[in-house]
Amino acid sequence: MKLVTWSLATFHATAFVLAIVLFVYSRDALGAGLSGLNTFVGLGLFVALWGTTYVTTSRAKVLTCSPPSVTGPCTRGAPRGVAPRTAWRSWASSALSPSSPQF
Amino acid sequence: MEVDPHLVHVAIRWVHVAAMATAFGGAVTVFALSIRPGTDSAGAVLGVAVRYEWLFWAAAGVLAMTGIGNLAAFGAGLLGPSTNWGTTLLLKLGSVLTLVVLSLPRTLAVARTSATSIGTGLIALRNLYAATTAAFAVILAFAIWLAHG
Repeated sequence: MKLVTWSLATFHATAFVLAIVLFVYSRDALGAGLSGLNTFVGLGLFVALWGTTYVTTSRAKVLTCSPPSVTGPCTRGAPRGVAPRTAWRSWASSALSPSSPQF
Repeated sequence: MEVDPHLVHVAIRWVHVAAMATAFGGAVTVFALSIRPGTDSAGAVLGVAVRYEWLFWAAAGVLAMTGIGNLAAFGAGLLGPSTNWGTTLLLKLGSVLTLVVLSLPRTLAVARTSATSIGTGLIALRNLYAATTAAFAVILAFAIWLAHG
């Protein structure tokens, strides 16, 4: 298990659920929706979402990185859509480096 | 076997508070370590930060899961968004979503930084965890108001 995969998977699961809860509550429909849901079923559904998101994130990272890596840059053989992530990683890497002009 | 719903809700609330204590306390700890004088400890701070990021995302998932459980305990009696309580809940949920979204760049930055390359980037690390601590303090204030206000 890698930190990047773990954080991306949890981010997707929690942000997805939080956005839905925020939207439904703003429409005043959350109480009625949750009152019919068993507590353990609700917890189980979230764990299932979390788990499947982790599995799909792991698989996506393996498929989009060549060679497979969760820490190295996804450049060689990377499909369309990976470039922004690579650019972000370059920025994230340089942002904390001593040579960065902002420090 | 029938499980007492009140007991379940107390247990969920306890897990929610424990996860919040872990996430908030961890952010305070990393921030406190990063403001210590001397850059020779930068590698150690980064090590603690990486471990914290693992805990943070675990706590974020648990907080989202148990938070919905806490709301479900109100059932149909959950106050609407037009009330003061509801407005505060909306603000809290919005703050949590914002913190989660802004935490991803922080985690990726920490994950991409090695102990040998941190150097003066410790200042950036300090700022990131100061912002995280402040965001958690705001969310905690909302939560206390919702529970006892």
